[in-house]
Amino acid sequence: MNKLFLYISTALFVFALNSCSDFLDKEYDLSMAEEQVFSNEANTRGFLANIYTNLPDGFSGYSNGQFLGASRDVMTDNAISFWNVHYYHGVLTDSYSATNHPLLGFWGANVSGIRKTNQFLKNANEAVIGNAEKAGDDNRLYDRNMAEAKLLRAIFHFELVRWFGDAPIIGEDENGIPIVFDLSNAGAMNMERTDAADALKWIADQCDEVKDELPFRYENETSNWGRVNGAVAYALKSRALLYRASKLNNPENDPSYWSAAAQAAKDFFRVNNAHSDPYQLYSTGDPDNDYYECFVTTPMLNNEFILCRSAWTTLEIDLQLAPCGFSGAVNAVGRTNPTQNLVDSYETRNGLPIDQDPSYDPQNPYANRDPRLNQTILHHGSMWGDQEQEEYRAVDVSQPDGIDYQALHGGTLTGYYTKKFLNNISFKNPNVPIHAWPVFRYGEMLLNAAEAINEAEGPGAAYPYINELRARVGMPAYSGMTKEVLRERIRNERRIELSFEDHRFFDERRWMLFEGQSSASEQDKPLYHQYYNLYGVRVTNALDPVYEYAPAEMHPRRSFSSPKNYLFPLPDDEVKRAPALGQNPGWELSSSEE
Amino acid sequence: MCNTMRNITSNWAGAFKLLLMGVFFLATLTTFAQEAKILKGQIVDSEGNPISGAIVNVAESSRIVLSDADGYFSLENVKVNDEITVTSVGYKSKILNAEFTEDFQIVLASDLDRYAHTTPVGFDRKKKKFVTEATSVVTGEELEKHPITVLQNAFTSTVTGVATYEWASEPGWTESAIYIRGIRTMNQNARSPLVIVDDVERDFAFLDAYPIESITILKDAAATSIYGMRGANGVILVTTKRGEEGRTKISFTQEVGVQTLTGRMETQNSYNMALTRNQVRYLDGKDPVYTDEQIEMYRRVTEGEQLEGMDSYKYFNTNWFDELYRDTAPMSKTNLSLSGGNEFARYYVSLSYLNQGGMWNDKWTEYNEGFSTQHTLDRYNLRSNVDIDVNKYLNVSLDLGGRIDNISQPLAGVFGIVTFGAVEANPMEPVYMPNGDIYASSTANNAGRLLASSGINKNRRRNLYSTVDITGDLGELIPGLKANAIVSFDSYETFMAQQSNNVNSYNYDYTSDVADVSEYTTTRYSTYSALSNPATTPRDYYYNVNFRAGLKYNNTFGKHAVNAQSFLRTYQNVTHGSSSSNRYLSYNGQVNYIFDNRYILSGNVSYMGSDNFADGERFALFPGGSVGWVLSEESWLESPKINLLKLRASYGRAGQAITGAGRYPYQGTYALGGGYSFGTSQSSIGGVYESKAGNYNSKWEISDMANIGLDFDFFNRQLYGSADVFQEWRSNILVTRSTVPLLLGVTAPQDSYGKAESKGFEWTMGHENNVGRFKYYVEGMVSWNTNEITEMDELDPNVEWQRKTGQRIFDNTPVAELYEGPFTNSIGGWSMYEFTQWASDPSKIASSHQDAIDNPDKYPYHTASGTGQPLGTAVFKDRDGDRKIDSNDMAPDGFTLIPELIPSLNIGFEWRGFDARVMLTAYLDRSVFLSPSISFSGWSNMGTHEVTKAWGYFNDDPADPRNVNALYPRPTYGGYNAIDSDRGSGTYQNDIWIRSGDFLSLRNVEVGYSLPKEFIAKANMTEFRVYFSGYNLHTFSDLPDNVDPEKPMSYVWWYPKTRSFSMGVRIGF
Repeated sequence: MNKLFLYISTALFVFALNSCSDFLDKEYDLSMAEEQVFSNEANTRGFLANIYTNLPDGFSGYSNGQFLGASRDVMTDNAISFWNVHYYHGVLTDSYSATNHPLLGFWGANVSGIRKTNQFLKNANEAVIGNAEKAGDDNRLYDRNMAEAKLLRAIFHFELVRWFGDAPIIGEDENGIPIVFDLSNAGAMNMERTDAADALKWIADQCDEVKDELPFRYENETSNWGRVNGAVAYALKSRALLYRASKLNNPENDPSYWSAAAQAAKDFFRVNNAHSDPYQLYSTGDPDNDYYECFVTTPMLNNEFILCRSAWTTLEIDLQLAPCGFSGAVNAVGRTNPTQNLVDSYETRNGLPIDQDPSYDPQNPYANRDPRLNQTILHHGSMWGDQEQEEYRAVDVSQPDGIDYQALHGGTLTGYYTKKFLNNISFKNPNVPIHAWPVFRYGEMLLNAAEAINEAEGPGAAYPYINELRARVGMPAYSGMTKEVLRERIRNERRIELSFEDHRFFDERRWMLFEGQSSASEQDKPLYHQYYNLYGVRVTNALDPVYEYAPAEMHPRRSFSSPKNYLFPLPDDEVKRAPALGQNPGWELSSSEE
Repeated sequence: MCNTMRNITSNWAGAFKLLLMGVFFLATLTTFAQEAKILKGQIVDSEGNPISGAIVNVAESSRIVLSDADGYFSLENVKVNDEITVTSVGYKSKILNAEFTEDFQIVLASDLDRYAHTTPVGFDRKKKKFVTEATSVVTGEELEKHPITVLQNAFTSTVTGVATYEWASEPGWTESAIYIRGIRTMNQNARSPLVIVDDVERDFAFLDAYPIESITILKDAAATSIYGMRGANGVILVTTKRGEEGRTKISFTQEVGVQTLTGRMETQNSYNMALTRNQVRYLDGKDPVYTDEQIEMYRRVTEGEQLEGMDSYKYFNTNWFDELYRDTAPMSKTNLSLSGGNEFARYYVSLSYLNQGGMWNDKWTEYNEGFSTQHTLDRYNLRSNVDIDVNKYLNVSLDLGGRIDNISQPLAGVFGIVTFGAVEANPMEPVYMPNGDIYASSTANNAGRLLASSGINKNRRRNLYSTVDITGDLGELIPGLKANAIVSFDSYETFMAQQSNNVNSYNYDYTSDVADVSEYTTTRYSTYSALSNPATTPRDYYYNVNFRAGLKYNNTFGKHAVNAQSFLRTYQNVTHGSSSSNRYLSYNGQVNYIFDNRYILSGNVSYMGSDNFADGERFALFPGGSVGWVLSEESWLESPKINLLKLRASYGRAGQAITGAGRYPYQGTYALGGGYSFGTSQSSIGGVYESKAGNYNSKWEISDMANIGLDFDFFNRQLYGSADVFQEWRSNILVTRSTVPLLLGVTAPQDSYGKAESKGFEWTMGHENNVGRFKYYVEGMVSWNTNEITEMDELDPNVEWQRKTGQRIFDNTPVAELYEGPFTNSIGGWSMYEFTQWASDPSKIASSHQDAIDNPDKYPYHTASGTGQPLGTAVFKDRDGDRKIDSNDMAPDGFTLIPELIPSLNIGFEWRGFDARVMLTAYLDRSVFLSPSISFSGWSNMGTHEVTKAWGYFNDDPADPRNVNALYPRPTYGGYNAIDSDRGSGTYQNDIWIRSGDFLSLRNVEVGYSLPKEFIAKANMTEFRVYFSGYNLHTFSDLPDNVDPEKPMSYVWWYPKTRSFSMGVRIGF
């Protein structure tokens, strides 16, 4: 009996020890490591596709209704956001800091995009992707994918420069290997930023490297629309060099910067015009509709859009934009409210600023104006709503009882709502529309060219570009102006044409509009030349309206301190972790200073 | 099987009757099988004194007699060689063969030394006298007395060093967080204690209290080091009951009770709402919404007046909470347990049934014909523990446990029903249309409509617990040596079946002036749909396999007693959908040496590894040791007045490997997701991205703890108690390293770098005594602990007072979950503004930051509104003196939701069969977040009555004394909503809303009566007790009425907290 138990217990122990020797080894692992990603064609393709999610997206704010939920133009003199919890308010009032502010997310999002592109450039395997000569878009696919990644990396760097000025350039190391930071080597991340002008030049050079590697336009847009192509490289180069030539980055006004920008813009048009299927303005010949339609009905089949952030199928954007009185199964909140400053910047049909055209009547302000006004902004009396569901009616922002002035879910601070990007959905029975965010579009290329060429070569060579844009909406062509006058008109045209497309914020800054002007000193200027004071319209007597132009509610004026507000701060924690980056001027935080 | 069981239990009374008949039948059968005589005898103690009231019976039969005052008894129908069992309180039970002699005398040995009884510790049992680690014990009797459905709640005021917090009270989902010796780590995922049931890791939340013999809380690291990298947060050791040799014992308990709400939000009535809205508009310079005439109508309807004519369709004062809740909900518990056995085999079987109803208003949950949308829980628990001595060398145990929960609940979430149905619903809107249909609108979702159309979500949860334990006695080989192996298999499954439905509802323009009901415009709000067919999904399933094998040695050599064991242990958890099972492997040893019953030396060691870490870096050693000195055994102190006096000290190391760092934290991880659509066809390409960089230094936490303790008992518990003092050094806590910039471009993994220190004490003191037949006891307890972060690789804060290192552990979480994060276990907040005064003087309000700097007598510029501070809002302390209130002015303050100081008091007595007890517990040094429970405002509504009562702001006259005596900020008009200014300014992280959550709770009162034994013995019963018990009876605190200080948000966003009353009867055979 004793022996039996001895055997049993010994056997048990031996069994236990044996079976346990590999007990802690991984059984199987569904998680992926780097090698599983880049040794597999589908995973490699997916990795590249994922990089596109980091593209700039002006619509992303709308999906976070609580704290964003409006166009980013509400940080400019174009509009203000209705809801007081929106983070944008802090930018208008200069009352936010470098500590953990959500808008500082642009830093993390773009450096994350850069890491992804460098991982792809470093690890993508030619044998896995294939690099054979083929007819069509997939010719030498590996080379094309590498060029895509490189161009995306340039776009992310450009976004860093846009928001933060001087930027770290995270390209290739001294051995030509793309830089992918290692967690354990924090020292390598403590890098200095490159001067903004030099960084923009680097971006332009990156564009040069890939602009002819990529098809100018994909043959098969059914599958490849939305991918960066050669046209994007030309467009980015044009924009980057324009920013570089602008006052903010070119304080000495070096004329060679302007001629480089002009040349880059011309290059785009040279190649584009030679292409069998060139980009062009969206036009059906209807100046009162084409501009609006360009952004809503045909965003994906539109020859004007060079690069879009992937289409969103969502109601969110429409609900955030439409006047608050529209409701039913879903409710509009109308949180992007254009200012009177913007409204006044639209010329009369005669091609004159409103204060220079005696036919302009402040009590009938929306008649005979640049057709883009009615295609961009909803004002008192604008007709809106779905006709089939009997929701079609005049917008009523009259005070105090106008249904669109204040309703349950929102209201307007200025008397206006935004129509651009807004689909005419039914609120009783909504269909979910598709939105595509323009990252680069042909209209911007015309404006880039006009601005750079006017500065580099004078008005004569610039007119064709700006007049092409004006012709689409039936506005008279410009001619016979001085360089200075045309500069003003181009800036005004750019404000109108590119409103609510994330340009105004940067344009105000690169032109340094705030210099030599203050809230008090600008009081007597036309509203469209006031940058600190924000205005709205107070409409009374709904049926026979009386218009009274008054400071906007909630934000009658903006705060702007120079040079601090020309750039966003880097996240404070980031500067603490990597002090070599340095903080932007005016944003330094320290306990002693506070 | 499932159905059969339901049938049996649903007809419980019938089943019980059947069982009893069976028992009697068997008893009768034996009686007639053999010739039987009358057995007579006397029962005495070791000194020959007679023992009265002892229970005598024939083993395995239910017939009993009691000994009389002189210890004599007489039992009929006894046969020669029948086994007789004798039991009496305070004596050891005895089993012997019947002898039909003249002076048959049975001597019972005294069993008064309670410290000679054993109590479970990790993988072993020790005599209480020789326990040297910090432990607390809750007995099964204690647990059965609480009319609660959650076992954790039974710990409050019964043990020291444990804090529990009931996150969710939903029937079937009620769960508590439990903390042993406080929150000792910054890592939210590494705070739960380890739960061990019968030496196997098992879930605890839904365990049935009846089969539990005891729950031991292992508090110090010397006790928990044997659990290796699982023991750092303390261990809850549950031991289930086992059968004893001797007569069959049957115990039956039936309890019925009701639950009621512990409190309810006092929402505004229509009259107040109208006044408030006008007031807020006035203060913001806007015209009133309501005319004096309308206000008067609202006053009348609010005062209960029945309006006439069209007014009755126009003015309402609806209390949506009346529509939402019912006054009481039923609950009941039933238990039957049997135990017994002989020298070869012993068994314990327990069967329980619990039924709990929901608090929703049954007017609405029964609205639909043929089904109910009410919450209900039916829980069946079965436990069977069997021990068999196969032969003199081999013992085999088979333990089986099973549980089935059938939960029926509304498909619509509690949050939606409560928040949109009642909290945010406008009291000015009606419940019904003029024609009796259900009314609902976007501003009054109608709790009734939501309940009637909430659908049914049925969840069935099945658990199976099984253990086979084989022990071989190798004593013939080496005296005292045993070999032992245990295999256990547990499985768990939740299955869900969902059905939806809808009801018709409408609204009408009730405010419009019409002459007749027919002129109202009716709008449909929702459309009827019948209850859909069930959509079924398996929700969750997993199984665990535990294995343990080893040798035990137990022997005594003269004055030296040695007890040792070494074993190997594995744990494997296989979860549906997970990449690879979670596994632990450990090699363990325990030694316990006692010299002369006086000096104790005890040690544990575990060498444990987890598969989650890289090969070669997955094992660690966790040692623990303790010493004890039983002074009461010293000859120079030995005295009948000193029952126990023991000093003890311990030091040990334990770990915590569930860090929340995910699987294989050492390897960089790529994941599927984040795809992108290309082409005008918008065809999507699935994305792949790097989700986290890998880190080899993402490891388990380490807890080093020292403990010194004292146990004493003088004059037979006339003065008894124990005290413990501890200090813990926690290291390897996962923290986010400050050195990694975002430039890395990917989520940086956390690093085992942080350190924290905790310290505290636990103290128990009691007094027990008899005054004649009046037996009473008083027991007081205090637990205190606090903690401090000593290292977290923190970036230098911009202002020194925001440094977290050196502060107590708070979690940095969004403010909505700041003080009540049921789903994240998040606790407390780092940053709070400090209230100084109300902005009550318009001439002192700065118009800009510069104005505030230039005029130090003005209130600092208020950043959030941008233009100047509205009157009646809070002026916070400008900590940095820059004349601007911004985030730099915030500082860590207050406590967490989990109390640091818990005193409690238990008082009870017994007298002539009556017994009673009262339990009082206070939770002190804690903070709660009040804003949602009193200022919460939905669309256009104005928070609770409390907040309006206390504003103080009725006008803009700074001379009005009410303006400086306010309790809450003045609401301000934003859009159509009136919102309190603090919320409007984007922060309510301040000490207006975060307040002391100290409270005293009358947790439990129980009154019982037991029938005299002489009386019930005639019916062969050993116990017959009826009782009444109340739980969560009342709380006392400084917070406003109707705010539950323990769980302030429970009536706002979640299922409400309940109190319960129950009556029960317990019968023992």
